[in-house]
This record gives sequence, structure tokens and C-alpha cells, in this order.
Amino acid sequence: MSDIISVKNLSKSYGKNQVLDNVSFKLEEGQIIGLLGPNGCGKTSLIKILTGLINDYSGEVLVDGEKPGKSSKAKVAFLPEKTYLPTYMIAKEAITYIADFYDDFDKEKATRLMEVFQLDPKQKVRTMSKGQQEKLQLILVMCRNAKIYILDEPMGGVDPAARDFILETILKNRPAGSTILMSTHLIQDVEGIFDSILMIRQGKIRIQDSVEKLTKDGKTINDIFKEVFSVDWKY
Amino acid sequence: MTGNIKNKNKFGMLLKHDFIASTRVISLFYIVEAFSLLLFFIGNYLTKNATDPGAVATKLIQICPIAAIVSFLVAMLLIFLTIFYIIYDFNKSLYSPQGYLSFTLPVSSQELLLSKTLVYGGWMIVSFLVFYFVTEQMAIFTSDVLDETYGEGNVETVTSLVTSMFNLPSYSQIVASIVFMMLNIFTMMFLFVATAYFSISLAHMRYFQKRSILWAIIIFFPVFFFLLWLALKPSDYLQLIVQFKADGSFGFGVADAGDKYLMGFDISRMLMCIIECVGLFFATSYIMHKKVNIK
Repeated sequence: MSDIISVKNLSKSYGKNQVLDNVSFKLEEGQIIGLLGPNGCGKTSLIKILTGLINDYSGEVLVDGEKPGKSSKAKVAFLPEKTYLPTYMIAKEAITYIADFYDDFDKEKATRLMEVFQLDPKQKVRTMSKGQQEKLQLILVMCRNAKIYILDEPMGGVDPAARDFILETILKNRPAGSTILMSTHLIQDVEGIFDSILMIRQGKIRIQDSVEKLTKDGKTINDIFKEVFSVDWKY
Repeated sequence: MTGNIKNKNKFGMLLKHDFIASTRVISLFYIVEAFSLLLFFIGNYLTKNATDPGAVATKLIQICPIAAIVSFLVAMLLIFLTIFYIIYDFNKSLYSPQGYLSFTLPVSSQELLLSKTLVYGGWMIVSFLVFYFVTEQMAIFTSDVLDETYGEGNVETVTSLVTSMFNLPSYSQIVASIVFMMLNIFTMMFLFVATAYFSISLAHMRYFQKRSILWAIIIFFPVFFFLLWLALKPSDYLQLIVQFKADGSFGFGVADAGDKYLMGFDISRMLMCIIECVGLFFATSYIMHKKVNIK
């Protein structure tokens, strides 16, 4: 398998605060990769770099063989942690908006999922609940036939029932051969779906390996996470 | 080649969606303007043509002067509201969480900025044209009122008054001088907006971000006044002017004590403002691409 994401000697700092420190890794195509780490470890900065939101860094970053930019953005479907849709739009307009910019967007599938998710196509984003907005954003991302899906805490702040629903939607609608990089701190809920894990602590990669290798001695990913990060929470 | 066509399409989509988004709000201002203008035109028409007006027509004739004043004030307000809105929307669509959507679209930062500049610039021009049109209509209306009050021939009186005020012999020169004056004001306003975009973008760098609005204001004023001052500087060395000649014609040239023309309209500052706007465009797109942090 070829590398879909390749990062070499990546460093990023905000003033004196080094958030990513000489990070290097490669991610294989077609896998579901868990990006794990506590808050402030550099996960979001890494995601922002991969999605082209941050361009001021040192080192080499390649997304499907290209520097993050205009071309790579067309291949990456990104679900940020925040609700980002313009509030004046109605759901149907949000779908048209995404379809206009991304050639890989499946409009029919999106319309179908709107019905499944019980979303009113004529409802304004402004009047939607947070849960409805998240559902709509999930549709917009998962109805793309993208090569890479970057999902930043897709289940953060939702109840356990909604977590299962989100996870199911992601897995059901993911095109074959696509790569998913998912950042999360809810490891127990999702560890079963990961093929490999990338753990970041204080701007450095602590663990990068396949789930198979990591769990061969009976440990869960959650156990390994606790081992790596419990040091930050000792008296 | 195919890639280029696709890129062009994406830029076209940016223009389309920026236009749709801005039309939602800005069109409301124009509806108010159109309504007051309509009342004014109907009232004005009835004043001139209705021989035996009914109750409704009489009311419309009575409110005609009020509609005229409202139209004029709304047209003036339209310019300020448009400028306020395009600055507000720039900040909201790029630097609020909506920025996660805008900045991850398959377009460059320069295209994002160019699209907004073209669409918003278009709205600014339209608001100026509407203001010009309304002012012209008001001038005609006023001269008609003067005609009725003081007898015919006041149009000539007003024209000669304006002509002497501008100290120009021909109508085309007066129109040209008004156009250049409006272009001058327009470039200043465009510089104002470009500086606002630059300041807002700079204020969304990580360092300033916690108090981005405060920083945007702090950055804006010194930059804007410096650029205004700088725009005056080229005139010290080379003053490019529009020359209004005694034979009623006009042309472009360099100010020279030896030249014989009635009036010279300095366009050096206007040109410098345009250069500064272009500079700000590239500086802003660089900051957008390299320095801003979307929260």
C-alpha cells in the first residue's frame, strides 16, 4: 500500500509555544487511523496543517503526494469540531454549496440521507439544534467520495446514542479504499474501528503502530493511552 | 487545460456564492431605496400630469417631497451600510467558525479575497451609481420646483450657477469633473475597505487573536492615515492632472505652470490610492494564506 499522508520533520510553534516538535510519520492508504492525545497535545494543529488551514510551518507535509493547498483540499473531506455552516443558509442550499465546490460530492445520496436523518431541506441552519447542525455537517462530509476523510472529534460533546449513530454513518458511507484520520479522546467507543493509531504527546509522536501489533498482548488501546498519558496527571 | 477550466469554475462558484450571500442583506437596503424612489416618481409624475387628482393621488403628490428627501438620505446611507456590511461579512465569513468552510474550499486564499473584492467592490460601485442617480433626480426635481416658484428659465439659471461654481465653460467638463470627483471619493472608500480587510486579517494572527476586534481597530487607524498621507506624496514630485481647457475640452497631462488651462484636477492621489489598494490586496492574501489562525 502507498502512503496517503507523509509528514517529515514537521515543527510548528506559536511564539515560544512549540506545539509540534520535529514530527515524522507516514499513513497508509485505505486505513482508519486514530489520532489520539489529550487536549493541547498538537492534534488540532496537525489537522489544520493537513487540511491547509495552517500554512506557516517547517518540515515537509504531503497529502496524496502534494503539499496541502488548493489541489489537496479537493481530495480531503474535513469535518471540524465546530459547527461552521453559514446560519442564513437552508439545508438544501448547504448541499448545493458543497456540490458546487467538490466534484466528488454525491447530491442524490445527500438528499437521501437528509430523509434518513429526518432533516428538513428547507430549514434554516440558524433554527437547527446543535445536533441537527452536526448531522447536516456529517452528511456534507460523508456524501463526498473523497480519498481522505479528516474528522476532528466527530463524537465530541454528543450523547452515547448519537456516538453510535455518527460512527455508523461514517463507516457505512465511507468509499472503499478511502483513508480516515479521526482525532478523538473517546477511545473506548471507537477503538474497535481503527486499523492503526497515532498518539501525540506534547507535540511529539509517542506511538505509531497498527492496532493489531499494539493489542497483541491483550491490552486495549484505552489501556495503552492511559499508560502513555497518565504521567501528565500524577501528583 | 482541464485543470484550468475546473479552477475557473471554482472561482466562478466563489463569485456566485459571495454574490448570493451579500444579496440577501444588501438587497434589503435597495428595496427601501426603490420603494421611496417609486413613491417619489409617482408623486412627481402626478404633480406634472394630473389635472384633477383624486384623494390617493393628492396624498402621493403631498408625500412626493418627503419621498424625495428619504430617497436621497437612503441613497447616502446605502453607501455607508454597504461599506459596513462588506467589512462585517468579510470578518464573519473568513474568521468566525465559518472560516473552517471558506478556507478548506479547493481555492487559494488569493481567490477567496479576489472574489470578495470583486463582488463587494461591485456593490460599492452600485451604491455610488444609485447615489449619483438619486442626486441627479433630486437636482432635476429641485430645479422644477424652482421653475414653478420663480418662473421658467431656472434650469438655465441652475446650470449657469453650477458652471460658474465649477468655473468651467461646458456641461461635458462639469460631468467629467463630477465623475473624477466621485472616482476620487470611491478610491478613498476602497482604500478604507482594503485597509479594514488588511487590519482584520492581521488581527487574526495567533498573537493578536484573543482581542482581534480591538487589534483590528488599533491597526486600522495608523495604517489608513499613513496610506492617506502617502497618497499625497507623489503630487510633490509629479502631479498628474485632468486639464479642463477654455475651449470646453479636457485631457490628461502633467501640471506645469506654463500650461494654459482653466482648471486642473489632480489624479496623482487617486492613482496612488489604487496602487496602495493593490499592495494591500497582496499583503492581505499573504496574511490569509500564511499567518491567520482560524479559531
